[in-house]
Amino acid sequence: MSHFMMPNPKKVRQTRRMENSQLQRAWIIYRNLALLVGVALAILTFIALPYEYPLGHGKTALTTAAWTAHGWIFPLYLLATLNLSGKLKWPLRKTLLVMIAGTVPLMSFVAERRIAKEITSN
Amino acid sequence: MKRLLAPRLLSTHALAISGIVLCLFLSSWQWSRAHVAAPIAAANGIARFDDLSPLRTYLPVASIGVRTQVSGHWQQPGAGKLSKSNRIILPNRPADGTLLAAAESGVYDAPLGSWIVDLLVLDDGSTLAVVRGWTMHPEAVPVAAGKVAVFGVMQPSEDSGMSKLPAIDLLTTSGITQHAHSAVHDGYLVARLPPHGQSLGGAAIVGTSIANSALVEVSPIIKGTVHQSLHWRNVVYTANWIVFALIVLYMWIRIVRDELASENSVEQELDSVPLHDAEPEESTTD
Repeated sequence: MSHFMMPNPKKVRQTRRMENSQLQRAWIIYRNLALLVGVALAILTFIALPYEYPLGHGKTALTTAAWTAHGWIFPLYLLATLNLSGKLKWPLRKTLLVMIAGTVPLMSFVAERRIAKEITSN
Repeated sequence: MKRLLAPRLLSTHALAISGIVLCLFLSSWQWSRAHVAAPIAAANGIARFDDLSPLRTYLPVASIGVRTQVSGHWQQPGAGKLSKSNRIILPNRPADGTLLAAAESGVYDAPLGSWIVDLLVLDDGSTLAVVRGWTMHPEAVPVAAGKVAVFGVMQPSEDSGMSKLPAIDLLTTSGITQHAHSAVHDGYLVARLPPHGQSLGGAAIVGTSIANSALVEVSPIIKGTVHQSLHWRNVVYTANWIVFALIVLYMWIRIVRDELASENSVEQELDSVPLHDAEPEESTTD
């Protein structure tokens, strides 16, 4: 095999480093949003919902604000998941599962831990 | 194009399209919840009742507190199988309904009596609950009968939009339905004395009872019309559903692209393999 058919090792390292930094960024964004969504959803399900219904306070300005804030964070979490899944070449099913994890209380923490393990082990 | 319509991809297309349509539908629903129009306009101060309270749907917020006028006849007892009585009596209430909303405790600086609710069968056959008035002696008020024109303002069912009421019997649409013999309008009408100099289009006021019986005029719980601004929560949810629709769209494109790409690579592999090499080499070692 002649030498010019070999990929340029310098270029390979460069693209790999670039991919790595992109992956790094996607991962950091995802982690932060997973954490935010997890905390917001935990507050809503374990504090706001019981306060609104079993305790009979109904909708209050504060709980409505909390739901509204969650309404901003959640789609960002979905977009961040989509972005990360593209970088890691996840199959569709896995992408969907991670997205759905954002809707189950405390599940986004679990998903985030697993993904961290997956990324650091590679 | 032909490959895009391959049977294998059809279910993906159907799923994606219905997903997008659903998301957009939910988005527009949230938008309608976020956005409540100004009170329904009323020519010379009295809105047409048909504009205020369409049958088989919730009373629009824009209809609350708008003056209107209805005509019909009072529902007669014994006509229905379910109804024991035609009348709903709501005890422990002051005549001024605004006090109910103000004091959650149920303690008022006003005498307590009962609101008398009779059912009016409108000219189109539908049923509307009418709060005729307030009294200390509900048993003394005869059940209304005959044809009548009633002037008043609409109020929502007391289980919706009035969450701060004290623990008293509530006048709800589902409660009204149990007494009615025909389709019921959501919410109820609080009968009011017509404004001075206002003609009721020639209809005689027969037995509206406020003017000619011992009933005291009731002030509705929600005084005046309701101006509502944007609900930010629903605005955000509107945007959410659009984002969800876009995500479905993106995934749809990705699935189809991956599918076509994998098809291409299989074809290329097949093309690149020379025919005589296609047979597997037999191992010669034993």
